[in-house]
Amino acid sequence: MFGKALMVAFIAGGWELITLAISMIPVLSKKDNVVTSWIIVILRGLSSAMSYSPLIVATLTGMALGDVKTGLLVGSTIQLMFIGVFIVGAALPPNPHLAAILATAFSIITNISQGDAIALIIPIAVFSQMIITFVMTVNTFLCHWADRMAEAGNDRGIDILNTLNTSGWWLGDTICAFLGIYFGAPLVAKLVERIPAFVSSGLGLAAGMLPALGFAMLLVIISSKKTWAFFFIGFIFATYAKMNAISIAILGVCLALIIDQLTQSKATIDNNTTNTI
Amino acid sequence: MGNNKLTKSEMSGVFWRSFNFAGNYNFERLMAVGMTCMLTPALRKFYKAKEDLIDALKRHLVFYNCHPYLGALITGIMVAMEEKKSNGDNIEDSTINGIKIAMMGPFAGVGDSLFWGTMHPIFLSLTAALASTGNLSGFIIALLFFTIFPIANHYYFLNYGYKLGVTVMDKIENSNIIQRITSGAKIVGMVVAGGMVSILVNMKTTAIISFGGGNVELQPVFDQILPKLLPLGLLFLLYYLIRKKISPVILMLLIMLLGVVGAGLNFLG
Repeated sequence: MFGKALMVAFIAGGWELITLAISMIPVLSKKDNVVTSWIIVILRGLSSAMSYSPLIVATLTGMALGDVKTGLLVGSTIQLMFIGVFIVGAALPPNPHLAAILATAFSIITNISQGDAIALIIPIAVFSQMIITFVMTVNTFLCHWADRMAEAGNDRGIDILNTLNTSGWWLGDTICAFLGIYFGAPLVAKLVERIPAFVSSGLGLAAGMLPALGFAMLLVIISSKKTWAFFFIGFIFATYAKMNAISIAILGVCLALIIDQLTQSKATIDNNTTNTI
Repeated sequence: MGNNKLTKSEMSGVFWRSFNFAGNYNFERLMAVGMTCMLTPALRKFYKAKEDLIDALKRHLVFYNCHPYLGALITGIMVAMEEKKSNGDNIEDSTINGIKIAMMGPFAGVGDSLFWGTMHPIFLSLTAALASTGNLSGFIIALLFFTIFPIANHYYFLNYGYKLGVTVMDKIENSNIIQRITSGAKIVGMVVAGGMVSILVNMKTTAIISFGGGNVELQPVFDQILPKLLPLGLLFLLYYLIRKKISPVILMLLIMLLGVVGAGLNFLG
């Protein structure tokens, strides 16, 4: 179990140490070169991918534990559950990264059903969010430290702080993934036995409803009285014409371009009319 | 007049640091330290005198928050403005921070609707659909897209912002390009959100109402009125509750509760 826990912890964020080590070369020497920068950029691109798509980490966990198929299945379920849940403005949503890793690992190690695995996801995601809130509180203090370094003209200090800070985000998930698997797996197997069937199936239903939350959050920010018509156009086309996501997006772009042309030509006409008057 | 200009290597230093935008993400000033860190390769080159460097670092340690991709455009503009300032152009501190503050709001809005609300959900749902059949291509496409797409955006927006530089103010004043892009992005976001609610949100009732002697299943009745009526109703309920400042976590727990109660009392299925 120790080896498995270590492997999963590496996927959950342990590999961030590699990025950190390479990042420290330009940070400490105060000299950047194009090659090192691109290496860091590619590693950072990979970490972005892992944080944006739970499917990726779930599949990697599946690969590490020798069951890719379970990784793909659990990962795709979580990805659909959390599809609309993204950081909008400064509001922090529950985070599926750790949940995807642990749910996949538990499904493989303890042989629990996929429905029961889903029952574990939301509590873990809410727990991840608490870790994020904790890190942001710590960061508030570090921010004042950055102020003092700025006062002293210590540009390298700020650089070191922010680079360490960036890797620090992965620390919580790494530790939790290790502890979760090393100590949690037997517990989870026992716990899941006690969950009544209707709770598991009810949480499965909740998984289907969750995407509405993220889009509601997005709509609060982007909607206005004038744009609700477009929401319903998208809704009606997807519901009755069964259009998929890509065709809906193309429809949206076309509508936006048409509206832009209309308002532009109206503006020209308005200008001309004002001029003639 | 000085002749400071960022070399390719120094620009690449800004480029990789632009991925660390949220390193010190905190409740007080959000991405303030992130922004200052991104600019360090530029600032330390432009301001050799300690006093000037201190001023520059302090100038950027103020509240800042933007979308990761479009934020890179602001970073590019900041590099260009600091370059001009260090070369002796008369640019006030307040102008630099003014541009930052004027742009971060609209850009965050465009980024949220265009990237978080449109591009990302499309690829997330596409790859999840592939992977749910046990197909490894879903994983490969997700890995490639979500690695390359952020890199391409950071690269493009950073360099474009650097090129725009101080002319950005004239551009914004002379045309209504920002408003046009913002309203266009919002339209795309609204259409996609409408479609996604219908495609992704699953909610069906199994309730049967009996009156007189006959039993009526409710779901077919809803389907007659409008298929996906329940997902739409759920969306508006959540929309209303978020406007009432109820936290997303509580809403998430409420959705779980609704699912469990629905399954327990057998009215959702």
